[in-house]
Amino acid sequence: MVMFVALTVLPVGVKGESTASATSSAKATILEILQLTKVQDLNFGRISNGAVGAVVLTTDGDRTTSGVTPIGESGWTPARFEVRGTEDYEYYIGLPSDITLEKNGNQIVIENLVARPSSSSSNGLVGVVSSDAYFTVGGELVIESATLPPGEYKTSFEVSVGYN
Amino acid sequence: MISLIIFCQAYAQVSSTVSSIGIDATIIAPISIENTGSTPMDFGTISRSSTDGTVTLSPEGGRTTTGGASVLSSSSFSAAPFTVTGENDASFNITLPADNTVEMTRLGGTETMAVDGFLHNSTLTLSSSGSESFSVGATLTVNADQIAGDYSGSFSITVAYQ
Repeated sequence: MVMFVALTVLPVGVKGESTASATSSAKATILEILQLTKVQDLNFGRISNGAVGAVVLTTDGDRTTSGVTPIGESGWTPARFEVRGTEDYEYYIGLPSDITLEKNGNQIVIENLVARPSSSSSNGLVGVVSSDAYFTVGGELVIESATLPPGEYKTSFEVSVGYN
Repeated sequence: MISLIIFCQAYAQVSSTVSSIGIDATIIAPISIENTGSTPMDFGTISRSSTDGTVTLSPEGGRTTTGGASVLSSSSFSAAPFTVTGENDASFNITLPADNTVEMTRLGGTETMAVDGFLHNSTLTLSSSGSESFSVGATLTVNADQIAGDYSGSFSITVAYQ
């Protein structure tokens, strides 16, 4: 009788006790917040009015003019921004397409904005974060009026960065 | 299989007339489960911001974010794959970790991140050849003040015949 009871219980017992477990690892990498700081403004320097033309300022700080007459031997600078975050990760740079400078309704447009990350030997929009990473920004100032009043034309513009 | 052996031992202690009893017990292949290829649940590389956020891995393989968390699209990620083997065509159930029981800890630190909302995409039925593969996803909470670094942890799941 004891044996009979054991037989009837057995199949249920085998099935009910059949469990198994497995363990998986889990992981994630969290990056530092990317921080962007302006170190230097974009400054095309001085030129004479009375002509149409353009001023090209490279990311390395070289200035060339066409049409308009340059003034001075210096006083122009590419913009410069510091980038800090988790080192060795790539970041991308967002630049505006055009920037308009205005003074009393008179406008000058900056086109063809370019950037050069310190991690790169040529212009581009992708750099690498490091403890001293920065990028410079240059562009082309286009003067379409020969009757611009003299004065200082200025504005501000935004650039952005993000992990690539 | 193990249980059957236990029974025979117990039986032998009671009587020596083992062969006279007709045994019609159904022997079921033991159920087992493994983390396929030891592939981790990988949330990838995450850029946090000044607001809280989450990153969710779906069992189907997707990755979505909410709030201040954003993922690097270039970073690889995966839900955790598992393979169950056992009796052909058998049904089973899965016990996933409960919320507030799993967290990851920063490598070289003590900071943690919670992993909750575990989900699986199993059919809960073994195939005609006795196997079933599925994946487990979950939601990672990334706080606004989360310290940057590599985080890791582990979790277990249990399967049982129904």
